[in-house]
Amino acid sequence: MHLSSEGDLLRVQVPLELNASNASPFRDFVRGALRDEHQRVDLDFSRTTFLDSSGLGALVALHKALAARRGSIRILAARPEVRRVLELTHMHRLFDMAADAATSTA
Amino acid sequence: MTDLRHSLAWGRGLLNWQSGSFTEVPDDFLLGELSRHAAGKRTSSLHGRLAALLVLALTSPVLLAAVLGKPRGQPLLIRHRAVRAPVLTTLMVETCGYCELNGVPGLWRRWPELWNIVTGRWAWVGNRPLTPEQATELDTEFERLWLAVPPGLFSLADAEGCLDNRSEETRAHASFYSVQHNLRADLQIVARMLRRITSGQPSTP
Repeated sequence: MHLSSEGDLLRVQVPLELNASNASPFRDFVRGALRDEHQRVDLDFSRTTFLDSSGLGALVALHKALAARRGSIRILAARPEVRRVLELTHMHRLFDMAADAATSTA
Repeated sequence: MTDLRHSLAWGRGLLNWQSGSFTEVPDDFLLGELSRHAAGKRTSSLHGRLAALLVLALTSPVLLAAVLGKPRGQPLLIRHRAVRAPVLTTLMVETCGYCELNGVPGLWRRWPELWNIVTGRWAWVGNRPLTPEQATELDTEFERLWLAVPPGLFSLADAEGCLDNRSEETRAHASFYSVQHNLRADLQIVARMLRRITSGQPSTP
């Protein structure tokens, strides 16, 4: 997993699959990387091809962590298969969705 | 929970017939359609219900074990109240009862729930029942998907080892199951739960 930080923004590269085998470590990794100044988190899904219920759980946990600090979380460049899962579960309404990973620094 | 008297749900609000006042309730979750019964959408087929009856009969010695094993002075059956899907309103919640067997360990405590499958009110696989209090804790549209399928004896969250109805992970499994379930996934969940029962892994009712 790749992380980069710029001001109040933490950008995270989401792995190829976010599933039962890695969702909890991913959640803990991102939570652990959050510093006081981070108010925004961008999750770059451009490489991710699979998201299951455990992955959704990790996203909800991160959403709540950011909400607790009045921050926001954004999903970038979700592929159709991932976007479909997010839409079916109405999770796309919880997050800001951006089509392009390059917009994260905007 | 709020106590409501002399009122009825009307349109998008609550009408107090005594005072004539009308309170608008903008949240659809709080004031869903009374006629909607997602619980009736998909329970077990006739085969599933007959299978539940068969399992109930074959495992009936569990009842004797519970009678012998339950702590003295405690009831054999512990009654619970669960919200029927979807939640109608926190003010006027439609609930159904179910029982837990006292005096037996782990998943065997769910044994009386087999009868709910026989009667067609529950499914073999669904989301675990929520109390009205737990249902009101479902904050988002995503989490409320928990109630979009009927209660089940087993759940995806069970199969994944998530036993706490209040955890984010369990809610995510429940919501995911509500929109992604199919026969293959159900059979996999049942198989995993049977392995769990036979291996004696812990579980909450």
